[in-house]
Amino acid sequence: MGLATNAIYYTFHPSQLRAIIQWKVWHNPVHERNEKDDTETQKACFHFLDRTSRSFSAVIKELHPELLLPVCLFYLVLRGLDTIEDDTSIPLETKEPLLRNFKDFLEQDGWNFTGNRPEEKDRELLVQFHNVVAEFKNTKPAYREIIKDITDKMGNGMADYCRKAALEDASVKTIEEYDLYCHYVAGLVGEGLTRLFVEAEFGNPALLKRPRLHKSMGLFLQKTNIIRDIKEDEDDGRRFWPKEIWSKHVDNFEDLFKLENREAALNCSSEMVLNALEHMDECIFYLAGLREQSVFNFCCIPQTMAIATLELCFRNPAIFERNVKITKGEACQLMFESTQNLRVACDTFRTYARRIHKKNSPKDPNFLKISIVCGKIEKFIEVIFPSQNAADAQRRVEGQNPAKDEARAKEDAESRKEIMFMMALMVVIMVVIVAVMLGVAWAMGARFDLAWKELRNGNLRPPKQFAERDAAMAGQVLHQEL
Amino acid sequence: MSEKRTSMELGTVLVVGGCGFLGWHIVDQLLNFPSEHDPSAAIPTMEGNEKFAVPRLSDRYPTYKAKVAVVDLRTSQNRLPGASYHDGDITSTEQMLEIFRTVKPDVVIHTASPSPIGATKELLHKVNVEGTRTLVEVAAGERGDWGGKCKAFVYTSSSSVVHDTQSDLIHVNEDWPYMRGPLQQEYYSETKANAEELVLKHNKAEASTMLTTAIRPAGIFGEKDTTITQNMLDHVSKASPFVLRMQLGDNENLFDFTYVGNIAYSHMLAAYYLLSTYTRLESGRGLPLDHERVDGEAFNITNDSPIYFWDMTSAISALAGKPVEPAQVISLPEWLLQPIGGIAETVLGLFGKTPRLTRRAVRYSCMTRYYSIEKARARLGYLPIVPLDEGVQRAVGNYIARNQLGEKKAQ
Repeated sequence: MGLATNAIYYTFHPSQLRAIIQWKVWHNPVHERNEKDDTETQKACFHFLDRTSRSFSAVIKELHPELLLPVCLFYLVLRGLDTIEDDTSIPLETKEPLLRNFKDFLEQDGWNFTGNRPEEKDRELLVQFHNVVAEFKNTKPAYREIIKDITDKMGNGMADYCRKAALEDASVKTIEEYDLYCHYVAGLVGEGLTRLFVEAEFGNPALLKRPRLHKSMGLFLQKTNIIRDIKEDEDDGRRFWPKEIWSKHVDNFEDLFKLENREAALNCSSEMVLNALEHMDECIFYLAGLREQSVFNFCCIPQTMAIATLELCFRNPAIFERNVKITKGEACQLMFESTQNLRVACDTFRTYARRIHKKNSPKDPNFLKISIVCGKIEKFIEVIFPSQNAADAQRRVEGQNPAKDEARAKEDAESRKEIMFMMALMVVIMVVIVAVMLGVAWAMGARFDLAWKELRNGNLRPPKQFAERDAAMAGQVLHQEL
Repeated sequence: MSEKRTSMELGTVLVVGGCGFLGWHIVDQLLNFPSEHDPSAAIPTMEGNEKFAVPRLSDRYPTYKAKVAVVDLRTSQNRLPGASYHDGDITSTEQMLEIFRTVKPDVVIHTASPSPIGATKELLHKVNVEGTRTLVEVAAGERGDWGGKCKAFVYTSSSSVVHDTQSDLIHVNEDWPYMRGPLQQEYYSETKANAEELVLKHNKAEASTMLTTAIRPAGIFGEKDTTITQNMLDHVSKASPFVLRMQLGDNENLFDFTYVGNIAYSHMLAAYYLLSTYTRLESGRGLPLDHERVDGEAFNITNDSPIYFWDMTSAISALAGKPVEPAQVISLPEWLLQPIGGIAETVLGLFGKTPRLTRRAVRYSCMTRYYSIEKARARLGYLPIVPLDEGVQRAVGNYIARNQLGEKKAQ
């Protein structure tokens, strides 16, 4: 958007502008990073982090110092893997062993890779990978172990996928395959991060006992991206929407983009949204297990962004034509709401679930299923933060005021007191202003004594004589001028 | 959902009210779905229409081994092959004793109740409270010898026993107290609460070893339904396209609707657990732990998928071929409709009629009302087997098919 369109947009969306200003002015990171003490290799790592992902680098850099570097390295390592996998110019014979052995390169001093084609966006990261290796070796062994293990699993997963793509058909057919693909590219990241959080004692160890939860965290984000990027991926010749879903709505995948199939395409996209929303309650459950503010922010921001993106994509024909994106104002609002606590974040999740529900069309074959999944999100929030309890109901039956009513009565009394105080303050201010005005008038020679006398005589207007004199003087002036 | 189907042995089961809506489904399920296997028992469906395509019930619910007998006021309607039928009034001790002498049931499932709409207070009290008292005492062998004593008594209560029909109920569990007296505006709910209480108090009562439990369904609907689906579909078929666009409230209120088959299933689970507790007690083994107990307890039963109230009407309307797009909806605020409902009630009240738009109806369609089924999940192992959307397909399909059949006959 240009400056002019921006100006117009925010004129009509002042709350979004407010959110941007609030975020820029008031947001303080939980942990400030001290860049002065960074070593050369650390500086290089953060430089690459900034270059590869602006949105991620912002949240990573606000992480607790204990996890800042491990998470940064974890991210760069996975980015490195991704850059090799994405590069279609590397033949399978070279690519496969690179991916499978990537975990070992992490500990080889000075390892780098220069075989990427020049257009590859993050080519430089691999060219200067020795920086990552150097820092990796300084990391705590426990963290190193986790990063290495996930790199191993992901490298092999990617290698399997590339192999399948080269030798047979790798298109995503069943929902199960779709989940598996998302698990390799995002679910494993969730696993790695969770292990890092628990290792650092920033997360409840129970999070590792319920692997479904961190898996859902990753899958929810990945599925959202896959839905949002449908057009971009199609233009690049990649297809991730599973056949099991789209074949219910159109005969050929490319039919989704044809204007005459808009209704079917929208129904297909809403089934994809439904599939993603199934993970939401587990994501909220996961967030409830985090114990440190910066880690909570780190995990929560992408989740609220994802549900907002899903809401934007839901029944939106634009996704088949271009890349849609939430506005900057909305993003700031979401970041603000995701950096407080779980309760505030849950309000956001509920708001967006309801917005999705509001757009849900009964013509959609999955109408009720979508209503159910939105209800499921709301219900889960009620499980964590119940708004009613049996004790209050019991008190009501026994004829007592429930505790809540008492609290409300107290609150009301307090707010009444506040209003009284405000009014008293206003009166005082008025009195002061009047006194000052009268004082100034008096100092400048106003004759209050005469005015008072006239008023007491019942003359509420200036005396007639003055008025006549003024008129006569005006007449004279007029004559003289003539 | 259960992957492998279990088998349940329930002995001789007497279904009271077995020709009613829920009762018929219980009997059908106990007999392992003659409605699906026996053409003579089949109910009208929209088979062949893709919009109404549903998987078979008998592949998903457990298989039952039971001898089934039915008591109802009139048993000429809603009969199924395989069960024995007995006309009888539960308020009459003599009639009940006679039937019990013939059937000699191990388990009683008591679903009988007058419809909450249209029944007088006297009738509600007589059937729900006095009838239930008679039945539970006859079953326990306290009103005279019929040659045995029942082991298990399952009572169909109502989720409305904890609801004043005014306030919101948000994810409410069984710890909520009964709403009675001045707090309860619906006399039906009061009689259900009184009956439930007396049934549960009869659990392991003196001179009897019979175990009792109560099931509290919320928003029951399904094939042969004469309330929710019927009313909504009658509205859909009569209303003009403009009226169909009207919606009371902002439709952010979640509401529990429950497929009748799942409710029937929960009764069988309850009976099964009561029987196993009974055997346990007979053989002198210890009582089940408090947090595992089924006897003397009440259970909320829902589909565990609350949906926004008007989405139910919208879904039914769409299935009936009259979809309303979200952009077309005209939502009328509750504060505006309450007084209109009040005026309508007063004016029509003068002529001795009730309007379609009453204040109670307005409140009902604007309230949040859903329950927690955690207790039933933990103690009965209950999970809804037929999902909500399939239930709606079944109910609407059956309604349309029934009407088409009716039209054909009329021609």
